[in-house]
Amino acid sequence: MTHRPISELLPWYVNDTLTLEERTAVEAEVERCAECATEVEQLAALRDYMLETDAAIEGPSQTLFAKTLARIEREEHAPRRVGKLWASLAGLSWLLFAAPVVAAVVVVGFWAFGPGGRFAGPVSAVAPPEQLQSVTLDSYSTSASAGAQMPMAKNKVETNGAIAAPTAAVHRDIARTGAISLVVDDVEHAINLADSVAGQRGGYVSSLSDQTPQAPGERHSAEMQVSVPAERFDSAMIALANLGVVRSRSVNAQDVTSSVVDLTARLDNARRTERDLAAIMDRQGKIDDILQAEQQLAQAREQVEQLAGQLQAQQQSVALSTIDLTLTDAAPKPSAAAPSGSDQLGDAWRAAVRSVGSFTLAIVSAAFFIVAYVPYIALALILVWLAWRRFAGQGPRQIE
Amino acid sequence: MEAQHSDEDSRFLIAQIARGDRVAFERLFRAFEVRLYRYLMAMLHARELAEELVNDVMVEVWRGAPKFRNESKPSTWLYGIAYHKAIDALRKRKPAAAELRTIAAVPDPRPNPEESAVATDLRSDLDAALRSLSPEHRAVVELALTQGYSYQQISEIAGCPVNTVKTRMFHARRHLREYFLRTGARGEAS
Repeated sequence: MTHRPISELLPWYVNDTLTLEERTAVEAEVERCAECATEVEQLAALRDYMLETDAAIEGPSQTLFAKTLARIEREEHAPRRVGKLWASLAGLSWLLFAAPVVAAVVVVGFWAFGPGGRFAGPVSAVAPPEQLQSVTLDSYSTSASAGAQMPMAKNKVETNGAIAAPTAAVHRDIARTGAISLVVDDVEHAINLADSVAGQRGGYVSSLSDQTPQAPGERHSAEMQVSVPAERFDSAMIALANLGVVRSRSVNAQDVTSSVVDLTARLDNARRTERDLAAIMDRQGKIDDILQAEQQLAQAREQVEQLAGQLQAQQQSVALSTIDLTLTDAAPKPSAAAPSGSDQLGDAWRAAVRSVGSFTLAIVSAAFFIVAYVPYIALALILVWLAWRRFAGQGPRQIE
Repeated sequence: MEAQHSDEDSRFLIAQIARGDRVAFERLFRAFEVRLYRYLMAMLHARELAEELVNDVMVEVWRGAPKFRNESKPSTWLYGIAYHKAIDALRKRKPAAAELRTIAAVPDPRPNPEESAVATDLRSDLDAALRSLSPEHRAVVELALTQGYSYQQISEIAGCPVNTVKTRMFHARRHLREYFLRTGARGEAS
C-alpha cells in the first residue's frame, strides 16, 4: 500500500477496528513516517476529547420512552378520519409531482397521436386528451391513498397488555415466561447443556421429566423448566434455542404491578390489624373478651402469612423468569431388542473371525497328528510299495 | 438505565418487536436510548431535537422490525436510521440555529488556573472546529472516534461506498487542520 491509502486508515487505527493486515501496514508506516506518527497522536487526542465530551452529555429525559410509546399508541389507535386527512394531503403532494408529468404526457401524446399528429391514425382510434388525463390522475390518486394507508396498518399485539399505558414512566413489575420446543440430536446431551445454560446465568432447572423410549421406534423426549434471573431471560432464550432446531418458541409478559400493589396494601392492613389485636390482648379485661381477641389474632396472623406468601411468590415470578423447554430426539434410538444393521454385520464379522480361528486350529492340530504318525505311515507306505513291486514285477513276464 | 445487549440479544428483541411485543421494545429502547441520544446531541447540539429524533428512530424501529432481515447488525441498523434523520434535520435547520449549543461542562482535574484556562480555550477551539464540519463529515468523525465503528460499518450506516467514507474522513481531517491554521488557534490536538 502507498502512503495515501494507509494515511486514510489512521482514524480506524486509532479506534482499533482495522484487520490484522491493515494494522500491520499502518504500524510499519507510522514507524517510517513522522507525519503519520504525529497524526496518530493528534487523532488519539481528538478521540479522547470527543469521548470526554460525549460522557459529559446528560442522558435523555426520563419520560422519553413514555412519549415514544404514547406516539405509537396514538398512531395505532388513530381514528380513521386522520388517515383520510393524511391520505388527502399525500394525494395533494403527489399531484404537485404528477401535474407536470401529466401535462408532458398530454402534450407529447397530442403531438404524436393527435389530429394531424406525427403518428396519427384514424381519429376514432385515439383517446381524447381529457380521458387520458382523467385516467392518469385517477391512478396517481389511488396509489397515493394506498401508500398513505400503509403506516396506519395496525400491528398485531400478542403480549398481555404489558406496559400498555402511555404514561408508564413508573416502575412496572413484569413477570416473563417463555416456551421453546426443540428437536435435538441427543436429548440426554441437550438436558446437560440446558442445565449449564441455566447455571451460567445464575439460574437452575426447576423441573425435569425425562421420557425414555419404551418400544422400538419411539423417540426419547424430555420436558424441563428452567428458571433464570429476569435480566438474563433474553440471553437464556437465545442460548436454549441454539441447542437444536426450534419447532416453536413463544414469550409471554404479564404486568403484575397492580397485583403486587394490591397484595402489599392488603398485607400492610393485615399487619396493622394484627398489631391492634395484640395491643387489645395486652390490656386487662374480661376473659371472654381476651379469648375472642385471641381468636381474631390467630385469624389475622394466618391472613398475614397467606398474603406474605402470595406476595413473595409474585415477586419471585418477576425476579425469576421461567422457560418451559421441550426436547425431542431427531430420530428414534436403536433399542437392545432390535439390533441395527451395522450391529448385525459386526456380529457376523466377529463370528467369521472366530470360525477362521477354529478352522486354523483344527488344521494345525491335524498336522501335528500327521507328524506324530509319520513312522507308521512310512511303514505302511513301504509295505504297500513292496507289495506293488512284487506283483508288478511278475505281471509283465506272464504276458510275455 | 442502559443495559448491555449483545447483537444476538438485539436480534431476538427485534424479532419479538416484529410480533408486537412491547416489553421487547422497551428493552431495546433502554439498550440504545442513551447511546443514540448522545450521538444525536453531538450532531445537533440541541437537547429537544435530539430527544425528538430518538423518538423518531425508535418509532421507525417499531414499524420496521418486521422488515429487518438480519443482514446487518442491529446497532448498525439503528444508527443508520439515526444518521439519516440527523442529516435531514441539519439540512433543514437554519445555520444560525446550529450555533445555539450549550458546550458541555467537562470537569478539569488540573488545579492550576492558567493551565485550566488554556485547556478550556483548547476545548472551545476543538468544539468550534468540529462544528465547522459539514454534517456528513461530522457524522463520519463521530461514528469513528466516539462510537468506534469500522469504516465498513460506517458505510452501512451512511448507505454509501467504503471509499466515500474514507474520503469524507480524509477531508474532515484536512478541514480540521486548515481550521486551526486559519484561526491560529492552539491547535496542537488536531
